[in-house]
Amino acid sequence: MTTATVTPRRALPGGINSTFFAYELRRRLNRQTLIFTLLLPAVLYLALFRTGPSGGVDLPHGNFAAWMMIGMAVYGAAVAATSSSATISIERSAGWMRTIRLSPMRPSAYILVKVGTSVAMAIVPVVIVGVLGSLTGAEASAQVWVISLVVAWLGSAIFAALGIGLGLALKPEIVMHMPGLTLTALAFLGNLFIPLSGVMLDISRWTPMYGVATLARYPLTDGYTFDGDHASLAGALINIALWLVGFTVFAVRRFKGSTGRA
Amino acid sequence: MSIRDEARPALRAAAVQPAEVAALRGVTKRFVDAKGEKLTAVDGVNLSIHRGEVVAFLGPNGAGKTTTIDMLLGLTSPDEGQVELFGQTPEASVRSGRVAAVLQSGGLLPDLTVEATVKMLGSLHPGADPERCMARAGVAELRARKVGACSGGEQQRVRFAVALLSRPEFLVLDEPTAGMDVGARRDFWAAVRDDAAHGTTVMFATHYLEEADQFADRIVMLKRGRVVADGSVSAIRSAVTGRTVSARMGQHEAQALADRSGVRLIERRGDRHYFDCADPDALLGSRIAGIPAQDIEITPRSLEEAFLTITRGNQPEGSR
Repeated sequence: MTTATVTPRRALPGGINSTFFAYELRRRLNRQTLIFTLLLPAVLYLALFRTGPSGGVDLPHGNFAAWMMIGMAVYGAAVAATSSSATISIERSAGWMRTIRLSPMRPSAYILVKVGTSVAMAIVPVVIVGVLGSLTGAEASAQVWVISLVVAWLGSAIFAALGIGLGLALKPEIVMHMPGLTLTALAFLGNLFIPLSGVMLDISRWTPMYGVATLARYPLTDGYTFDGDHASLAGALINIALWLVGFTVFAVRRFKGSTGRA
Repeated sequence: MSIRDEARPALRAAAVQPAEVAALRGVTKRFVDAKGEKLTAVDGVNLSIHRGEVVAFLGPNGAGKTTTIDMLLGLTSPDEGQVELFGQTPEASVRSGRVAAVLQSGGLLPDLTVEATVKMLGSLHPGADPERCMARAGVAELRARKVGACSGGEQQRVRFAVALLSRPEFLVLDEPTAGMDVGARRDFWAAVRDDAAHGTTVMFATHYLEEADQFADRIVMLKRGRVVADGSVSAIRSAVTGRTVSARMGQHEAQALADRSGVRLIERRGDRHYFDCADPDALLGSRIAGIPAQDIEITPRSLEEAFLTITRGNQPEGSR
């Protein structure tokens, strides 16, 4: 019970404060979330970092292990950010939204706390995968390390929005498993686990994780795939913008319809 | 009712009586049910609650109590009419913590401990004292227990602790003791009574007459979305002392009995006639003699009848 003694709080507009944030964060740290956000990216990285194309293709600014490390960081951050859905779904079924509505907290502040805790959670897998990468021979320039991992981390904002929307839309029983499985499929489709090419890569460009992964790897690859294709920076940015807007609209629409009687 | 608080400019600025805490004017709320039929849950309710009052909001299930409370707290907005708390919108009063509520069920996270719940929500109210609120609601010794592991009565006291966080001037309780056993109910009301003694205005919904009787100084009765009675507890108590006498008899005999003895014929179901009667002994002892009546029953006046008696006053009225 250390958090219980968190004392003087500086309240931000709308009722956000460090005590509330700390309790929110602690609620997120349950076993289910920890397995998906800590263990899974680490295990997948260790399983896949040596699976690069035969002949040992070198990337402009690093090696295949670094490519895999960045992909895993994007994946882990996304899973961590989406894990808000479980707590939100429980809140919804318990009528917690009504309690919040009867407090000074504004709805926008509630959403901000959720996004904030999601982004805070997303640091954890990024750091773990980064450390594993450095231990297993991922090679890249220092600049690439920093920029790529920071992009992977901040890209989780897209999935924070998705997590809020899913939490408001789905029942607790479903939301325990669905986001983790869906994100793993999206990570595969988004060119995160196995280097895709041809038709698969064309499909990949439209999926939600492709944009963040491509942007995060850009300093490493200059946009080139292992087959010599080039993925444009603009394409990645458009992908990010569209999915961020899409998921945010989804979350906001679900939120507006969620504060009535439980 | 003459308490004036000079430190509350908002109250004086508003065009309401100085001591008015809550005002509902012509408030109506309609719902569309699952079959697509329109349902008027609250139908033109006018209500004014003054500082320091303890008001019981009484009515059967489905009378519109919870809907009215939801509108009072700004959780839903009325289709027609106005709701004001302290001369402001309900939302503004909720946000400033001047009004707080204990809702019927839900609203707590089962995976949080009691202490975490009160402290987490307390952090949203500037200057709140979670320890004191837990102590006053009698949940301090439950602090390490998960809310999901608390009994219904204990959870209700946790909700009460949460409601105390903002040090509200107006406390709204929606059937706070539903599902509690006698002991838990007594403990809960002891905690609330203690708070009301400090001048907090309280409004609580209930369908237990005893609760209203023991605790409120004013009773508002709601039926099918309308206020059917609004009066002091003593007025209601005197109305409840009468009895309902019923018997199977012919229609003419029933009318004759009503005319002769001054009791009111209130209802007829088949050949069973119901009389509203202050002195059943006298009625049975002498008046009913000579009238062919069978299966005579005496029952205490139901709550509804008591209230109807109040609303009707003494005006003569025949059978329905």
